[in-house]
Amino acid sequence: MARRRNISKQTRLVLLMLAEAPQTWRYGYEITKMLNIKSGALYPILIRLSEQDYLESEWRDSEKPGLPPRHVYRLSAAGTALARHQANDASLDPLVLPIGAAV
Amino acid sequence: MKSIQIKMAEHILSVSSRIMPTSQKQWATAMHNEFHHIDGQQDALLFAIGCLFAAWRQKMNVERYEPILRWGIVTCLFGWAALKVYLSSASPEAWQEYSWSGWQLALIGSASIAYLGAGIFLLLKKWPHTLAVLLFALVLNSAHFMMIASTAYIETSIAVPMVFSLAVVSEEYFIWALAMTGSLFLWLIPNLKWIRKGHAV
Repeated sequence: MARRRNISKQTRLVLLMLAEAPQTWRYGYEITKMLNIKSGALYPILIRLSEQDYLESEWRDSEKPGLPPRHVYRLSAAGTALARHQANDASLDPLVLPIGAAV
Repeated sequence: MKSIQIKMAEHILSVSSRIMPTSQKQWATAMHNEFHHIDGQQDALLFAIGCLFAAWRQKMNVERYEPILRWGIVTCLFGWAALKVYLSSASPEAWQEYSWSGWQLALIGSASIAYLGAGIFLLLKKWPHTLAVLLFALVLNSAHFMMIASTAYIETSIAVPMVFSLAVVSEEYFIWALAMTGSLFLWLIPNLKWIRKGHAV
């Protein structure tokens, strides 16, 4: 499994937040609110994580009638391992998830 | 009735969808659908603006090498063809002095036309056409090489034109290999997931 060091702070935040509840599917907008990051930063991160098989995604029907299905995300096993490695890596600056991000 | 902010946001999202690379269109749909679930108008507009930046970043990320590589190859192909045309038209006496046969000139001229054609197809992003024309150029170049390597040619030729011919053929092979590799790369890269995997997380 690839263990990459060149991971941005925002990517680490996304990884750590998703790793807090690895089985929980998250919406894109929900993640932006929880981590207080912009959609312009979040989606490129999600795309890269997904392309590298660290992230699983699927379509979910909307709970509100008449609205289109939403894309949901959660970490894959490889993504969870990467997040764990990031959290335990002493050489990296410790990150604190924003209040409300941890579940 | 939709507010101006929502109309602007929808317009921005449709632009984002057009910008997003073809291989990542589903992400544009994901962003667009997510937008419909945002309650606040201000939030929706900011989300849409962010999506525009995200789409632009993805476009730059996936396609940043494409125009540089494409124009680089086209410049090589056109430049090489133009150089041969210039040499043949500007100093015909030089060609005569090197005692190049009519067949050789025909092969060199045809290869030049093939390179020009490959360059035009490359500009139009017609990858199969580009590769087909380049293969034709390879046949012409190989025929030229076989001609100058033949016993009859060596016996009737003198050292200088022989070396010059070999230099031309070698350069033809070099340009051909460059164009072929680059065209294959440009054609296949949007579909190769393993290349995109190489990017940092």
